[in-house]
Amino acid sequence: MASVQTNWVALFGSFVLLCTLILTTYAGGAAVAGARRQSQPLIRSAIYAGYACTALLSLASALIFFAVLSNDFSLKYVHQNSDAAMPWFFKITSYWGGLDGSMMFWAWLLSIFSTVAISRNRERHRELIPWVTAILMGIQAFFVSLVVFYKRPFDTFLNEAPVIGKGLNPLLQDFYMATHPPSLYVGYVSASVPFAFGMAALITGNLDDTWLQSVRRWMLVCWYFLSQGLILGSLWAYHVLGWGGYWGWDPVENAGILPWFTATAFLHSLMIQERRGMMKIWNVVLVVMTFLLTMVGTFMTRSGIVQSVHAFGNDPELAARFLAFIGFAAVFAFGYVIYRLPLLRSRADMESLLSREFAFLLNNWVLIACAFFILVATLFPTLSEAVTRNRITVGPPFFNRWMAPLGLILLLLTGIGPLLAWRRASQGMLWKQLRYPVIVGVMTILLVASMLPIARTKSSFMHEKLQLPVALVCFGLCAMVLITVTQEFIVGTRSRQAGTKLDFLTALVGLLLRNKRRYGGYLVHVGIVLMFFGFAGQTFQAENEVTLSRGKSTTLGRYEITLQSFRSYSDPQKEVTEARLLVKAGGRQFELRPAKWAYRGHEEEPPRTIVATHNSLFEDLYIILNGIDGNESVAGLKLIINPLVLWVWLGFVMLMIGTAVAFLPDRSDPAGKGSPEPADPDTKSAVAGKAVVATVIALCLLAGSQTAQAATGDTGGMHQSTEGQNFPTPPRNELERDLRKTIVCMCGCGRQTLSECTCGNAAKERGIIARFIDEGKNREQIIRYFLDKYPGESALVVPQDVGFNRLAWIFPVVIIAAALGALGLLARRWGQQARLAGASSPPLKDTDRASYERRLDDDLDDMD
Amino acid sequence: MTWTDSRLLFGGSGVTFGVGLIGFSVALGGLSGPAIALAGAVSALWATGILLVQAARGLTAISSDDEQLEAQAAVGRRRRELNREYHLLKRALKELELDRAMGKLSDDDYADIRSRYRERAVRILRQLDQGQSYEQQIERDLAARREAIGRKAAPAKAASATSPVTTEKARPASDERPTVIASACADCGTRNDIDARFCKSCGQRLGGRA
Repeated sequence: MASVQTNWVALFGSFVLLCTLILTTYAGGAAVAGARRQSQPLIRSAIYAGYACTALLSLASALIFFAVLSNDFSLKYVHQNSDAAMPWFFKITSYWGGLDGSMMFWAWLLSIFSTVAISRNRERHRELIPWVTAILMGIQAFFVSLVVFYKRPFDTFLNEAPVIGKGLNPLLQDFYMATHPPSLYVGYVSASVPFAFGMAALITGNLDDTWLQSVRRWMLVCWYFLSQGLILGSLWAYHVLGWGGYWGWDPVENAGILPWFTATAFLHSLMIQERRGMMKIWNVVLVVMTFLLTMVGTFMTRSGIVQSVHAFGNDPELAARFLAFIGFAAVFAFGYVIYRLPLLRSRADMESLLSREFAFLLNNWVLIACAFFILVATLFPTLSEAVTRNRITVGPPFFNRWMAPLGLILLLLTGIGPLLAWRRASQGMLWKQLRYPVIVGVMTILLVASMLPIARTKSSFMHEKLQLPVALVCFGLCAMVLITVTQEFIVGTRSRQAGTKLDFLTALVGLLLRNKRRYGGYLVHVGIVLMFFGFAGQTFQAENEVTLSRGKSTTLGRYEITLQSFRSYSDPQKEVTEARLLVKAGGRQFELRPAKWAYRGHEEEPPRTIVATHNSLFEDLYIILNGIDGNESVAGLKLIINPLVLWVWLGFVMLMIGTAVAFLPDRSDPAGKGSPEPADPDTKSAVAGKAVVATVIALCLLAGSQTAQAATGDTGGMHQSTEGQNFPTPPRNELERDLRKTIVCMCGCGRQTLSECTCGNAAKERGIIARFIDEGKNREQIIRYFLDKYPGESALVVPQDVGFNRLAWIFPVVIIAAALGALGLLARRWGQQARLAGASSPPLKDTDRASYERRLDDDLDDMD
Repeated sequence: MTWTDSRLLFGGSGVTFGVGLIGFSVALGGLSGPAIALAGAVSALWATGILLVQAARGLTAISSDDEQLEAQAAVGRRRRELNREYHLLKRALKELELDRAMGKLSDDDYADIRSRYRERAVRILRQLDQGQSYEQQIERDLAARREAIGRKAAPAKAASATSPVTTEKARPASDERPTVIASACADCGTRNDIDARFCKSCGQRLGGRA
């Protein structure tokens, strides 16, 4: 028996983490004590202790990197997540690939952001900083305690160390999967900073606008990285996971989008607080909710409370700890909100329904409704299991039929909002501004409806009985919003030209640079519009499944696809089955090669799908090789036409540009006393960093979309049975196709329907359906068979409308009715005139005043 | 943190990283991932040490040097805050003009909000000026005090002249503040803002400003 050697690195790493926990606790405690006693030395000590924690966590991270890069498999974590044969880049990503490491990564990111936030704001917010430090250290203590006591990354094997590692799931060894989690983590963790500032403002009672100034940029960072993480995840799902779509309403994806909604709401309603002193309670609540939702998201993906393709696993104890932390944080935060309610009263009242304030309020309500709906629908299976012992499945169709109307309302508000005036918009003025957008919108609908019949496809809207041409409405609204934004740019430039003698282009650039927040925001809106344009394409997706023998062809849409040949070969890593297709369309032709890769060492999982796509602005031709039957010399293919998908990615690029513009710092402003006003220190390094990141990401997005076939991955999820080359034979009739889309595969992969899942279990079930149809059974009978076979209702992709499940159908309606009712009541109360409460201040002496006014005017002129 | 300390922190980390890199590359037989990681670890260890010393130092009583630095920083901070708010008000006024030009604001509303913003801006200009004159007055008082104290003031003056507070960006020499003490209440000793007229804790009128 070989002797067990002490792993000094691991030992030292554990020690470092323990020290970090002690120091974090000290920093938090000292910060609170210093704040209560107004003791500068204590506060200073706390801040430096906080910085020291960052250094310690960096040390621990360096040790993990060392262990991973030197293939030290005596560490359990390294063994489970890394492998000597992996490229170094993926070894680094294995730091956060497993649960323990992801918690430590979270703590590390949090410490870095804390250091940046505290050091930047130390001078500007002297009253708030001690509490900010305390809160951030508190959160950090939670994560570090998890890593010290519970999920320890530095644990070693007690016996002899294994020689090879298990390696990262090949699915995760991919550019998108390497960049998507860190981006999401940055988004999640950066939500802690606004939360800390918000709580500090509540605790100290300093609830004027100063805490908002610093928080805005952090929330923008949080929002941006959440957006980027979500898009990268979608790209991965589309190009690598290969089931034909890019967003499946998977619980883990949903966890990521929840804080995105509240962050978006915050970024909008904070404008209202700055301009009118209203919606203060909203802003504080939104900041708290964004943080809590990031915690809930982290909790959901690690607790096993939801079933998903890419959850970290099932760990009830971890779930309990997270729940305790979230519960405590929620009580603490909302308790303070209630305590400080008197200080949060608005300075002004809502004066009219036709005002920007009301539009923003409505916007916030809709965004919150989206987040709430997604949260409940994601947790509904767990809820139903807890209550009725039956776990149901809530699949994409249910989400889509409710998110479509909500999304369209948001799109409409995006168009109208910027046109409304503050306090009270005159109807005449509004109509004048809306004239062109509405006309163009209506014309677009008519044009598209007549020229592109496929866009008239109806889809479920709120209920499957209500079928509307959602795509047309969406296109009309997209056109309307685009015209609105263009109008804003043109009118703004013209008004700038009126005062000065600039040409259009210079005035335009000047306008952009002078109002970066506003026009950057408009560019982001344009990006969102493009993304909605892409989303609409999903409603008229075309799909077909065929079996072809050599030389045979089939058509889908405007494409003629011929199977030229297929072959199998192997390389050191995998066995490859590949088909060669010749595609002809509109006079041009090209070749596509969908394939299946079976990794050695991962035979228990189904082979990975290598999707072959041909992208264009109109549509993507998307081909999946289901399998090759060597005996009969046929290849099974799934052909999909995904219209307008490219616009989703282009929309994101526009979003990125808009965010960059909004984030640019203002030029240094000479404050009339000789000393230049420093550019906002929050942003200098942040902008440089963002610019680098953004450029890299943009390049990679463009490059990545071309290398879809070279990407590595897997069909995702752990299926429990494979039975050789079982590829789905195409459905023979509509009934078979419909049933395959309604019944979920119960192999444990998540929520893929029988038409998507490629495991052996799915093949068997498809065979059963085919047999029943041959025997003459009808739809209800076949569904009844599956419901009986799998107790509960998880076999259906959408819950049936009976009993407890009625709640699933009712709650969106109830929420919307309640919200409308509440808004109606509030609107009636606001019917009166309201006096704007001015800031009471003693008037200045007249003698000085004139000279000061002159100085002000001079400075204002200098700004242009 | 003084300038020397920050040099020790950042410079020292860089140096330890470089030395570590060379050392570990030699020990591990060439520049490799593990060598870089270990060098990073060593440099992080150095940074931890420096920062821990700073944290510990915070617990000891603040020396008079630190007090003066704090006071100096306080004045500079106040000034920067006022400048910043002034800048934001000017931005807001410009945006207001744009909104009105684009028809998003009625003339009445425009006049109303504009006057509010202008009122605040003028107030800030006044405060900036007052702060300047108070500083000059205090500087005169301080020069007198220094002469009285004599030798003890010399190192203090040297310290304040050569070590600008780290949190401030580079400023032109004309902006270098002489040593200034934030006004302390004669009754209760609480430190108040430069332009305060009444003590914020006990409410007594602060001396020297009628």
